Amino acid sequence: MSPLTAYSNAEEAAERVRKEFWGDAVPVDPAQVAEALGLQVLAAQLGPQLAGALVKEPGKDPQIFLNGADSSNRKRFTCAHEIGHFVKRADADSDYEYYDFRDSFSGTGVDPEERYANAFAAALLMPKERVKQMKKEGLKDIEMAARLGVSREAMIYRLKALNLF
Amino acid sequence: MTEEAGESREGEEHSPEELQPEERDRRAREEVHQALLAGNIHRVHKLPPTKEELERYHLQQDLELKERYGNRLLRLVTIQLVIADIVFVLYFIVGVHWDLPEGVIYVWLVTTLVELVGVATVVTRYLFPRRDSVVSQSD
Repeated sequence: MSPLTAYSNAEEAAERVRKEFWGDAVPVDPAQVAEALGLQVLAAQLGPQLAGALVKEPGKDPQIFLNGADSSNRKRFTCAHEIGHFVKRADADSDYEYYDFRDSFSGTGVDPEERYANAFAAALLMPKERVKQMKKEGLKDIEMAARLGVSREAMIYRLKALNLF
Repeated sequence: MTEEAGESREGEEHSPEELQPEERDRRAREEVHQALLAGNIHRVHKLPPTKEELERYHLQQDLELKERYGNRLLRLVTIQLVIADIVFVLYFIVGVHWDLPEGVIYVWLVTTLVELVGVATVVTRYLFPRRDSVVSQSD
């Protein structure tokens, strides 16, 4: 099955994309994964409420816009989140655009697209097996977050989702 | 993770959650186009993680350690003071019958005082160093 085939399961999709376009090393670089997928990643001066966007215009490669004012770890998560949108829509021919605001990443949203993208981003940046291994080694959440290049909040959320917290 | 409400282009105060999704997207689209037009944009090829989380962690560890030491020292000093006070009061009430060489109680009180000053010095100088001394050391 092609890694670009749209998956209903974000965890599985992230796992396949990571293996195909990145490998097993951590921290995963979502910008390089995006480029390998044929996406352009751009940092722009955006307003404080807009975290990122994924825009596919006619005749152009899809573009990921990141908020240039965000911290690197924040941009990493946003980029992975947009890749999640892209992967979900990979088989769709039509043009599309997603604009992600701060509250899109709260994890409490009900929009299935956003939930999928969040789950994808978490699984891409914090691979399940690697997280389990780190937990077994007795690493604290903050140490795991530092090794994986994510925020502590994202790490805790991931640990909870994997029933490891 | 919602942050403070942004100011709309029309000058009205709206947080994006208050807007209809279509309006919210329209404004976001406009924002992206404005950034493109203004040239405030650059290509990103790599997104390495920063050490900020790790630094924050080390800072937190440092603070927790200081807090632990601070609390323990405070408890020790309190216990020491209580013991010193009890001895002093006992000496005042019944000490006249004690067979103590002259000056022992003075030494006892002075050493307690010196110890307190010593602990306070250690805490203030080493656990909570002055900012300017930290800066000059790093220079």
